[in-house]
Amino acid sequence: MTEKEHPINESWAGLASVDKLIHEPARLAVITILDSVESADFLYLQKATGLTKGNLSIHLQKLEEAKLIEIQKTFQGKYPRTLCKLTLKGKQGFKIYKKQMKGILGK
Amino acid sequence: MDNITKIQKQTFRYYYQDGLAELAVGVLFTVIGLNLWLVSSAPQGTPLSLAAWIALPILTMGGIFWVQRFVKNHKESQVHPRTGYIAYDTQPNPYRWLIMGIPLLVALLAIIYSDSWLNHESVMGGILLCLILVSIGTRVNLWRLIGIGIFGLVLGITLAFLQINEHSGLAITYAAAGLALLLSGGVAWRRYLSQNPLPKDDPEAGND
Repeated sequence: MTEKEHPINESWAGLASVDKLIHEPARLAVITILDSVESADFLYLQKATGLTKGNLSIHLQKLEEAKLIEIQKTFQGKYPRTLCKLTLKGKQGFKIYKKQMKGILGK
Repeated sequence: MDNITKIQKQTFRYYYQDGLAELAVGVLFTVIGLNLWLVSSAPQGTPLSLAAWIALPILTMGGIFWVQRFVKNHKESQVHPRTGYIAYDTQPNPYRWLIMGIPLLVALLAIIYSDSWLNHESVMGGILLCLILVSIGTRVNLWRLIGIGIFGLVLGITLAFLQINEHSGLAITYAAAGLALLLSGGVAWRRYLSQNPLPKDDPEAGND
């Protein structure tokens, strides 16, 4: 039998349906942090994830485009502050993702 | 512990890890302890005794307000520019009355039903301190808070066995816990400042 006649084992089919936007490690770390709080600024996310500024910016942009997070640029004193917050879609998406991973990993 | 839970605990711990809250609460507990000492040692009926009693609620309420302002101002000026800002969820915990009520109930039951060493202010003070600090410490994985909580409990019980005057025992418990918090908070704050220098330029430069 060829590969086409052997679909992915049904037990692992769930892995294919996991949201790849959330599943990417850097974005997963960002979403995990934002799920725990009301909001967090760019500097905290950068320190907590260890990503470079450019790399983090790209990931935040992708999450914003997918409407999983909201980004608000404000000022705190003389310093600009970029605040990130999980949207309702983001919270629900993360909840579904955690449920899927638990099902896949059997925990 | 899975990685997601680890990240979440780290996020909760962020508020405490610079030591500012400990420092401020340590000052408050030490001052309250000194005031309680005055209450216990000033001759009853004298203006000093009256002033000490009046000062206690004022110091407590004013102190709580001062702690909040102190921590907020220093976090804005010193912490957020160094390691960033988090706004924690302001939704009240639906179990908050249970969390606050259980330690008070335990203390009340101990007062009503105990007849010896447990029925002592320093023991009650120690139990409350221990419950509060241990619950925060275990939630955010900060062992120094757990340690100080246990220290407060052991001290309270020890003072009860030494049969020290009630108010004096409570005063010593709070003052000692306050000094311990001051010390641990001060060390944590100093370590935080040395490990996280203030950025020379805009911390978000390069974020386009």
